[in-house]
Amino acid sequence: MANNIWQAQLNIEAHTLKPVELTLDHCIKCNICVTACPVTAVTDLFPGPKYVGPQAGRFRHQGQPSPDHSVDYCNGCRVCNMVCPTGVKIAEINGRARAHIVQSGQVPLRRKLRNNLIARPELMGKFGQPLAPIANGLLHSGFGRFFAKLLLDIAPNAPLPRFSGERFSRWAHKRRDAVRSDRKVVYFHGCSTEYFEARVGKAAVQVLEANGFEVIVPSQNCCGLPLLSNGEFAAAQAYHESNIRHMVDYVKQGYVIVGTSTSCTLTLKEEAPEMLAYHTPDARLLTANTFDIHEFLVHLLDAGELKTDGLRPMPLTLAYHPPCQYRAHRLGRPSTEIMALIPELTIIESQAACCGVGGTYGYKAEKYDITMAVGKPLFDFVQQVHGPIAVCDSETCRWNIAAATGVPLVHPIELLAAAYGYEPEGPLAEVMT
Amino acid sequence: MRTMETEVLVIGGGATGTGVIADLALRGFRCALVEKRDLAHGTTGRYHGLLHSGGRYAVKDPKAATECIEENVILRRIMPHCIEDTGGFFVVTPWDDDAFGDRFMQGCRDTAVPCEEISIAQMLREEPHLNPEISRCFRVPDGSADSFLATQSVAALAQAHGAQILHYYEVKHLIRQGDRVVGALCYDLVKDEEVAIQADLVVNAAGAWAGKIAHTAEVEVNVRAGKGTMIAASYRIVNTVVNRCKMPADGDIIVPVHTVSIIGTTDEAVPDPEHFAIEPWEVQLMMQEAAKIVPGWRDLRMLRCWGGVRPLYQETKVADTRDVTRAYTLLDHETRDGVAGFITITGGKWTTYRQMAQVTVDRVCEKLGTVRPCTTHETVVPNPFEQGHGRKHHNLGQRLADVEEKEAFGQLICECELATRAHVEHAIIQGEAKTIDDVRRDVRVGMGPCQGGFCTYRVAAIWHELKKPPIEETNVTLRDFLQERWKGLMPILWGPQLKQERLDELIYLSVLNADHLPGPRASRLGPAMYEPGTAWESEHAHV
Amino acid sequence: MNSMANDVLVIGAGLAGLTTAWQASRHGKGVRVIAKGWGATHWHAGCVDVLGYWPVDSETPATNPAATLPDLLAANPQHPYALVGLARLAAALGGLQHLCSDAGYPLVGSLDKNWRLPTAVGAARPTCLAPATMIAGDLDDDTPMLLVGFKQLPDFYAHLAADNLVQQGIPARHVVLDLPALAGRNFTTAVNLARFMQQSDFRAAVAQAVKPHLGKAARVGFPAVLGLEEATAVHQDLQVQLGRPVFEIPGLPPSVAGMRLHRILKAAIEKNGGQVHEGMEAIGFAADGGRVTAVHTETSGRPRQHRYEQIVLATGGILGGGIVTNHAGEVCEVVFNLPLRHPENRLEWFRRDFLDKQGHPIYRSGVSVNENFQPMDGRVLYQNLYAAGSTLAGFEAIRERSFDGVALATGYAVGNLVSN
Repeated sequence: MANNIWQAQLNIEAHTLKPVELTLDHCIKCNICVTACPVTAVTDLFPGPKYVGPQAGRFRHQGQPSPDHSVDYCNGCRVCNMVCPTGVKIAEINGRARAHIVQSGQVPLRRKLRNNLIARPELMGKFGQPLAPIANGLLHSGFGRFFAKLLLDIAPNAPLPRFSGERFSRWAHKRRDAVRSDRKVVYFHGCSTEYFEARVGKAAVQVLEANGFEVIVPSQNCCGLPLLSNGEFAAAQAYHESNIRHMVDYVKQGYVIVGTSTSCTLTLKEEAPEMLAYHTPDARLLTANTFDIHEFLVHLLDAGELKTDGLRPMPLTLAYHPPCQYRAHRLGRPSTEIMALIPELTIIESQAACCGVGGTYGYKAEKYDITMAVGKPLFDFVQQVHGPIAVCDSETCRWNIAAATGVPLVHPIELLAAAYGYEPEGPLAEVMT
Repeated sequence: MRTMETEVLVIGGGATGTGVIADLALRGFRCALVEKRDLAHGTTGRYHGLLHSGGRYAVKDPKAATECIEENVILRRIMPHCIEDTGGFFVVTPWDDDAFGDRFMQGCRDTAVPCEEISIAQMLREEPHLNPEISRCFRVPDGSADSFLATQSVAALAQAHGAQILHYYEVKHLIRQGDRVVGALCYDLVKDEEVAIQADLVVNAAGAWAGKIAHTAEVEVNVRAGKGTMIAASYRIVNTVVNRCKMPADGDIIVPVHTVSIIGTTDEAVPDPEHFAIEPWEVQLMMQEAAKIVPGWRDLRMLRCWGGVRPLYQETKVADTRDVTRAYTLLDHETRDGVAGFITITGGKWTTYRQMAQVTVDRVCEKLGTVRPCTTHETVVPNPFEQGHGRKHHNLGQRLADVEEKEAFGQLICECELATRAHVEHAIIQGEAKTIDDVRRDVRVGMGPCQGGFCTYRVAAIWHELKKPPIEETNVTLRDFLQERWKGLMPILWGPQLKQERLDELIYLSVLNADHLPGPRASRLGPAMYEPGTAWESEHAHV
Repeated sequence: MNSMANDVLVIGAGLAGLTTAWQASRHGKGVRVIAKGWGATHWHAGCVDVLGYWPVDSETPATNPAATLPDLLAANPQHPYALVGLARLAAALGGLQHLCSDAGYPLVGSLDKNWRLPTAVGAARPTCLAPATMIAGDLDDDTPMLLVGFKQLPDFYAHLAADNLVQQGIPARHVVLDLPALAGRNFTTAVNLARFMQQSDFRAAVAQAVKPHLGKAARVGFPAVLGLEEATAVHQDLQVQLGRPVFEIPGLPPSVAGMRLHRILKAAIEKNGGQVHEGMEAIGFAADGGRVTAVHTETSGRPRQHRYEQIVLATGGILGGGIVTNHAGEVCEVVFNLPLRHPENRLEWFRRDFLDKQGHPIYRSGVSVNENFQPMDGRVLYQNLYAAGSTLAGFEAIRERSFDGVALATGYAVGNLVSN
């Protein structure tokens, strides 16, 4: 291992992982995954992770049209993977099965168009953000929603975000007060920060700079997860390859990549290589040197290098939902550990499996009700805690919980940045005043 | 003692026997078949499931190769639902002689077995788990066959044409009057009574047991039992039949059948087709040889191991060679031994069962002084279990597609093999199952990774509900099936499958306490276990 | 809540691991449980089996575990119960009963008596502690019972159980419900039936459908699906509606009753400030000077290190995944590669009968420990490493019906040892 956590690890072992489908060999049929699956708990349209994963997996043949369709109701939350006692990569098996359905041309045209649109936040951002006021007005009008449902089967109440006035990368590049240092990290902001919630990126930069890092914001693409979870593998691979091209040289110079979107970092680390079976040496380098921001901060904390003095007290009691895409990193609860450093802040962690949104899943008309049913225990919890805001690491979950509960949500890094004394923006700013 | 009478009695309910009875019935003979267990309980149900293209014999035995490709074409036409059109590869691995490839190509040309060489890149595109060190690959029209379904289907065809199928009828001895066989004395295992069956002609199609049957009429037929051991991996690691391109040897073929991949086989002469062991060296050898074809094989989950006994005929007298090829043997005991009313058909392979039946029934016609042409090559064999799939080749995804279409998720009894309650009920009632193992052969319950862990209880409950036997009978039926599964697990239990078996123990002993239920622990319909394996080394293995 | 000291790391979240963590956290230790996934609680019946049959080939169950255990210990001084001792075993049972009572889900029984509870095939199952939701099924009581099945639930068959009970002298009848609420569903599992049971209108429909069939039945048995977190209330409500005792019968996994125990233990650990992380597989460790300095877990990117003072190995045996085997006949402990006791000759792994009374020798494989549950190889291997539950050598949990008892007792003992 490298001496310091911010030094990239370049000596990577060759890929030895088995293809995800072969992990089905470990299934002992015990049904533990079924007990944990939040989707099968609310709908019998989804026959459960054991059935669609390791069982149906034995009947699939890459050379033949997909025989099944119920797997499409998997929302990709990965709770099954987390509880499986034998290590079956159920969610990835499901993701690859869905891609096979898409590749065999079994998705109706309207759905295919819709999936391709909602799976491209980068495209939407590029066109929508410059016209933010108009686009927001349209997307959030009853009129716009009506046509989205009519034309594309997008759920009329889908938790759509609002475009920001300024792209995050523009803010990052035009700053005059950026810290310069030999300790550098690369920041992967992802689409949500870039187009919708620049404040999260600003908070991340502030926290990293407060700890003495120079933050590099390279040119980058969507991580490709929405495409992966819609079975559009070719397009996802194009994004992934592009991201590797944009970032691997920094890694080779010894810098690690830090991200605030838990699903983006999971995609760079694991989902893209595993789902796409894409394991080039450069992809491996990226996997081994990408960190969720709180994972990174906990490493600093363990090494005694995280700034923990002089944190501003935050006398708040807030609900926190560790999103399933975060738990899927299998790191424990780094965000909880970091938030615990903030004086007077009380965090109440949800026990809910999933908010239901599953990335783009909850945007689809046919799945919206399932999403709301899956998320109900969480929504109830957030309302019971009754904080002025709630906290969650993942953007689509934040949007979904906010839309369902009316409680605004923030990313935990915003709390730390505020505790470091930076001026918050958005919902946190209103709470702090 | 009960008595019965028929024109032609066929002994043996494997591929050959059912083929013969179907051909007899189609040609209008009154006929009956006796099988000592369930249909396909013997060698037919214990082979690797290859539908030969003839490629395996193209160099070694050209006549057999030609027979195979002829029958291959016919079987694909008459029983498509029993066949999966997997295609086959012959591959030259680093352990094989590169030059054999040319001999192989020539052999295929000479025997009319279609064959084309494909690039290694193409081979790996189609079968990414094959050894990338393979240097040559030839494509042939091999397929994989469901020998259980085929036997059931052929038997059902025979029944539809008036034949009687009597299973769990064990032949105690043939009945001889002077120099003539006039029938057989049988034992009905289910009713526990003897039945004498009179017949004008008896056809001995008992495969590896043919010598034993003939012996009861004081006719000596030297059929030796050649044991072949096979192992099923729990998953379709390949979707094409993959053969090593060399002279046939131990462990040189992987066949994808339904949801599993089967590595086969050894070839060991055993003194008795009933009593033999699966030796540890055989298991080790299969694992080693399979890994030469699929390098990750040893890390796959092995599901089950079994041994089948090939009938190896060795002539000790002057043979009647008129209708005989080296692949199978027809013995007319009237001309050979001076014992009339009795013929034996033995040897052969599943792929040529129809042809064997044809020559046998031709001889029956001759013996009974009638001329009736064979029609089995043009008679489509319907699927007795499902209407509508009869004209299509089976494919891997079919069951999944059916469950999805009917949204029958809640109907699954065997979740691993996607067997539904309707399947199980059909097998119990229409299939006249006598054991849960019979249900398994009909509809594949208990054949997946959990090996009956979850479905044995469910099937026993449905059994009890439908058949309403005394409760002890249901209890022993359940225990017999658990033991039947254990039989084929013991030789290959390690890794995930060992873990699975411990979960199955937790279920049946601890959660259900099924070992303390009323009734006997085992019945006479329970499995005959393999002898304990002892040998780690073999002097006979050839690879 | 996360500034707890790194005192105790427990590897494994079956009954043994959870009990260890519960005890250690109760003593104020900073505890983290890491587990590849969930396990034993979800597979077994949700009772605590301590000793059901001894000798294991006995046809009749042990009626009084406290009286039979000395025979077991005399015959097998290496048995984990010998290391625990009867006093600690009793304390462990008492502790769990206390915890469950506090959680509103009483576990009933004592070491002096085994219940004989009906199984889903209708055999009598000896168990020491059972949830209050199950005990009315006890077969020492021979009053008539009605067993209720659900047409849509494939994991429980009331007619089969009833016929076997009748055969054993218990007047039992059955009814299979075909409720409209389930009829239109694509599938029904024990867990979603348990969720349905928590809805009062569904319960009312069940009671309404059962009532006409009650006849002379003095008690009514259901599959173990009477609610998840609200089991006690569901159970009581059905008793009131049916006007007689109601009991649950465990069926095929997953075990709803076991899930309740899992939930109670996990909540207790978290309430005491401990953490339980599933999906975290221990894949290696670092040691220095006879101590384990770190345990490594697999993550999405690179192994994560966990540095704790005391380490408890509770990964289970062959079933739990703490011990793995392979085609070459190797038997290995997965985290620390500890030396194992196991049959030397691979041909002796199994006996010829699946249901063999003595059990298959391979399943007795495990880690040898000293009286402090420290893995030994002639000497203590690591000063701060302990083992509990089915990872331990020298017992046949399933034939003895001691699966939960050994896990609970050794977990309890180790949880207390690491707290001193």
